[in-house]
Amino acid sequence: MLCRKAMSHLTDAKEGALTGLAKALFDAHLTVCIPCRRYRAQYESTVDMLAKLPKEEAPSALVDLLAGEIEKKDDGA
Amino acid sequence: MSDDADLVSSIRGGDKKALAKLVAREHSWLVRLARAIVRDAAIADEVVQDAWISIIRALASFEGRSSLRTWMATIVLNRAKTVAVRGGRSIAVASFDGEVGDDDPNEGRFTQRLGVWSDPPVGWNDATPEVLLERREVLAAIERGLEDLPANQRAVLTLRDLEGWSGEEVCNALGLSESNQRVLLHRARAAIREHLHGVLKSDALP
Repeated sequence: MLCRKAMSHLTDAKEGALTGLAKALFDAHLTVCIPCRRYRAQYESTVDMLAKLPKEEAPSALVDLLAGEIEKKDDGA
Repeated sequence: MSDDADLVSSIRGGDKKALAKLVAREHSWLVRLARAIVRDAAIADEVVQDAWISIIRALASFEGRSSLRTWMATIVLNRAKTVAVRGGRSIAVASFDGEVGDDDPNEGRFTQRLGVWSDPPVGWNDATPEVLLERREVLAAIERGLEDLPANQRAVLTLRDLEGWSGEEVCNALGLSESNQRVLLHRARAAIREHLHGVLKSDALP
C-alpha cells in the first residue's frame, strides 16, 4: 500500500471499518512512512479541535416561548 | 431511549424543567445542522426556532418509532430545506445520500503514477488543541473550512465531530448509508485539516 491509498483509508481505519489484509497493509505503511504519520497526527488533531469547539447556546427566552406553546395547546384541548 | 421517553412524557405533562433539559441538550446540533443547509446564521436561528415550535407542538404525536433525535432532525431538515429552496439555494439537499462527489482535497498531493506524496505535509505547531483553539486565526480557519464544505459533508462533520454523535445516529438522522457517511466524513475532515494547515504550518517552520 502506498501513501495515496493509505491516506484514503484514514477514516475507515479510525471507524473500525478497515479489516483483514487492508488493515494490515495500512498499519505496515504507517509504520514506515513519516509523511503519512505526520498527516495522520494532523488529521487526529483536527478531529480533536472540532470536538472541543464551544456548543451553541439556546437563547434564554426559548424555553419560555416553548412552555407558552405547551400551555396554548393545553388550553385549546 | 427510555430517557427520551421519560423526558417526552414529562414535557407533555407540562414539566418546564424537562423542557429546559431537552432544549439544553439538543439546541446546539439543531442550530449547526440548520446552518449546514441555509448557511446564514440569522436565518438558521429562525429556522431552529420554528423547528422547536413544530417539535413541541408535535410532541404528542411522537411515538418513539425512531429515536427522538432522528425525529427532530427530520423536522429541522424539512424546515431548513424549505427555507433554502425559497431563498434560491436549490442545492442538492433533497437527499443527503445522493452523489457524494469526487472532491477529495488530497487528490493533487500525490504523484500520478506511484501515489506517493509529491507535496508531503510539513509539521504543525505542536500545542494542544485547547491552546490552539484559543487563537482567533485557528477558529477563523475552522469557520472558513465549515463554510466551504458542501451541505452533506458539513452536516455529517457537524453531527459526528462537533456534536459527538455515533455513525449510526448520523446515518439514521440524515438518511445516509454507512459507507457514504464515512466518505463524507473523511472528505470533510481532510478539508478542515487543509484550512488548519494554512495557519498552523507556518508556526512549525524555523
